[in-house]
Amino acid sequence: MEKSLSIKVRNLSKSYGSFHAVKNVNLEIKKGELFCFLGPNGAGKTTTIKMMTGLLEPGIGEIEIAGTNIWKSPIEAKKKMAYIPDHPILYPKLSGREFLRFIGSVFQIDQDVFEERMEKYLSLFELSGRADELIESYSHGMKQKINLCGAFIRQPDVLFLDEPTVGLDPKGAKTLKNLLQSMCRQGMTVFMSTHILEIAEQMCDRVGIIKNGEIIAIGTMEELRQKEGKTQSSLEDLFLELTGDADTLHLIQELTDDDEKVEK
Amino acid sequence: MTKKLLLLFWKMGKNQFRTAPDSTKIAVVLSTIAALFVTVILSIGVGAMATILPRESYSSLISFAFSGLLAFNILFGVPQVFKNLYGTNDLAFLFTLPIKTRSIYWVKFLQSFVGVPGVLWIFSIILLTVFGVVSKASFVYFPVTCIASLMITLIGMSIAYLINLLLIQIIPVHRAKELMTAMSALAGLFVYVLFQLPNLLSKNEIEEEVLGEMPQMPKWIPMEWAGRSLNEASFGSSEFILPLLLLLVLVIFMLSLSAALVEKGFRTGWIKLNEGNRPKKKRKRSKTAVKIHHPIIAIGIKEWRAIHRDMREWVMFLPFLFFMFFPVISMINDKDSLQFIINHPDVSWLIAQGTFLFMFPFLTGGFASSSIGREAYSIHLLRILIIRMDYSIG
Repeated sequence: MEKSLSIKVRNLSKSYGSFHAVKNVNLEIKKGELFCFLGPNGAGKTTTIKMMTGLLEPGIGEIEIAGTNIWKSPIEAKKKMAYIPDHPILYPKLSGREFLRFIGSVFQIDQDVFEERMEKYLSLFELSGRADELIESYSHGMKQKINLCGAFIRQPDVLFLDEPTVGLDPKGAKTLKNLLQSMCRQGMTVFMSTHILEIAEQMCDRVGIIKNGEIIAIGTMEELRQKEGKTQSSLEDLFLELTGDADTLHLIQELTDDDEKVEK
Repeated sequence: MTKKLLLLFWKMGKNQFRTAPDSTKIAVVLSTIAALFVTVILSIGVGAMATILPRESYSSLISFAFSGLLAFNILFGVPQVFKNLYGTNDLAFLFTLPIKTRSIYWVKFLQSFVGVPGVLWIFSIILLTVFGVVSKASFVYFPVTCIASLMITLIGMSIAYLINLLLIQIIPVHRAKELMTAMSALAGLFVYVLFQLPNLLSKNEIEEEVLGEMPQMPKWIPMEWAGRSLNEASFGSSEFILPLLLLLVLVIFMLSLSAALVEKGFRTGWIKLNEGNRPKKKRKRSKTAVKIHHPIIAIGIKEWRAIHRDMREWVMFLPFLFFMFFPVISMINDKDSLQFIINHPDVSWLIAQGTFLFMFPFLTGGFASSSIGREAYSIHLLRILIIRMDYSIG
C-alpha cells in the first residue's frame, strides 16, 4: 500500500522579471521519507524551500503540506511544519530556555510534555548547561542547535532543513543525523537541502537535484545510478556529472592523481 | 497569540535592560535628563503664553500644537514603522509559525508606539497640562488632554502605517530598495500640506486679526476638533464631547483602514521586499576598476562606493530638510519677513549662524555614525590588513 503524501508540489515556478529562479518544479514526498534536495549555489534550492514554507509567494503552482495548501490555509499548514533556515533566526535577547518556551506556547504543547521534550533535546544537543544564557552569547553552532531543539519539540509532520549541519560540531551533526532517521521512522517527513553529499548518500531515501531552477534528477541512489548507467558511482560523481561539472570532476581527479604520485 | 507575542517582547525588553552595559544605562539617564531640561524650558514658555494669550485664541493655538504633534508623528513614524514592518529579522521566523499576520501586525504597531510616538504623546501631555494649570482650566480639561493627544498620536501613526502599506504595493519589486526615499518624500509633502492648510483654506480675515494674526484651522480637520474639544473642556463645558467623539470615530476608521491592508500590505509586502531581485546585468569591466591606489585612498573609495551604492543613507536627512526648506521658501515669498531680515542683520546673522551650527553637527554626526556602524560588520577585515586602525576607520 502506498504511503500518504506529506509534501505535494505542483508546477511550482518563480520568476524575477525575465529571470526564472524556479521552473515548473513537481515533487511528491511520502510520509516518513527523508528527502535530500541538492544543487549548486544559486540553483534555486532556498527559493523552493522558502516557497514551500510560506516565506515566498510562488509565481504559479501549488504546495500542499500534509494535505493543506500553505498559501490557502497558512495557519493550518504551519501547525504541521517546522523550518530551520541555513542562518538561524533567533531572538538574541532571550535565553535558550525562554526561546523554547515561546515555541511551546505558540504550538500550545502540554506543559508536562513540553518540559520532558525540552530537557531531552537540550541534553541531546549538550545545551542543558547553557540553556539559561542569552542566545546572543551562543556560537553559530549552538544557535543552530537551539533552533533544532525548537523544531523537534513541536514534533512537526514535516521538517524543512536548509543546510542544517553548517556550524555543527561532529557530535552535534551525528546527533542530528540519528534524530532525523529515528523521527522519520516514526512518521515525520524531512525535506533537507545540503551541500554535504556524504550526508545525502548515507541518510536519504531519495535525492532531488536542481539546477538553474529545474529538477534535473530525482530518485533513490540506485535509480540515479541506473539512469546514468554508472552502477558504481558515488553521489558526488553523479552530482558533478548531472550538474554539468564534469570538467571540475576531471580536474579533481587529476589533482588527486598528482597527490598520489607525489606521495609515492 | 497577540498576548504571547507581547509577553515575548516584554521579556526581551527586560533582558535588554538587564544586560545593557553601564555606559548604555548612563547614556539613557543623561538623555532623559536632557529631555527633561528641554521639557522644563518649553513648559516655562508654554506657561508664559497661557498668561499672555486671550482665551479666545486657545482653540487655534492648541490646534496648531496638535498639527505639530501629528507632523512629528508622521515624519519620525514613517522610518520607524518601515523598520518594524519590513526591516526586522524576526519576521522570517514569525511568518513560519502558525500566528495570524494580524496579531504580528498589532504587536508591531504597539512596538512602534513605544518609540517616538509614545515619547511625543507624553511630551504633549506635559506641555498641555502646564498650559491648563497656568490658564486655570477646569478639571475636565486634563483627562481630555490625555485622550485627545493620544488620538492625534494614533492618527499620525495610522497615516505613517498607511503610507508604508500603500507604497509597498505601488513600488515595483526591483525598486523596493528606494521605497524609503519615496515614503520620506511623501511624508514630507503630507506634512507641508498639513501646515499650509490653514493658509490655503482660511477666509476669515476678521478673526485672524483678533487672534494675533494666527490663521484659523479649517473646521473639518481633526486637529481643529481636538483644539475645540480642549478649549470647551478648559471652560468646563460639556461641548467638548462631540469633537472628541468625532476624533474617536476617525481614529477607529484610520486604524481599521490600516488593519484592512495588513494581509496585502504587510505580509505580501514583506515577502516582496525579501524575495530578492533578478540578477543584475554584468557591467563591462573597465581598466580603471583594477587600478591600484594608496591604502588611504583605497579606503576612501570603498567608503564613497558604500555611500553611493546605498543612497538610502541620505534619506534620514529628508524630514529635516523639509523642516528647513519650507520655512525658508515661505520667508522668501513673504516681503515683510524678507524686509525684516534685511533691516535687522543682528538678528538674521544670529539665525544664520545657528542654522549652520545646527546643520554641521547634524550632518557630520549622521554620516559619521552610519559610516562607523556600517564598518562594524567588516571591522575584522580591516584589522587583518596592514593599515593603521585610525586610517582604516577614516
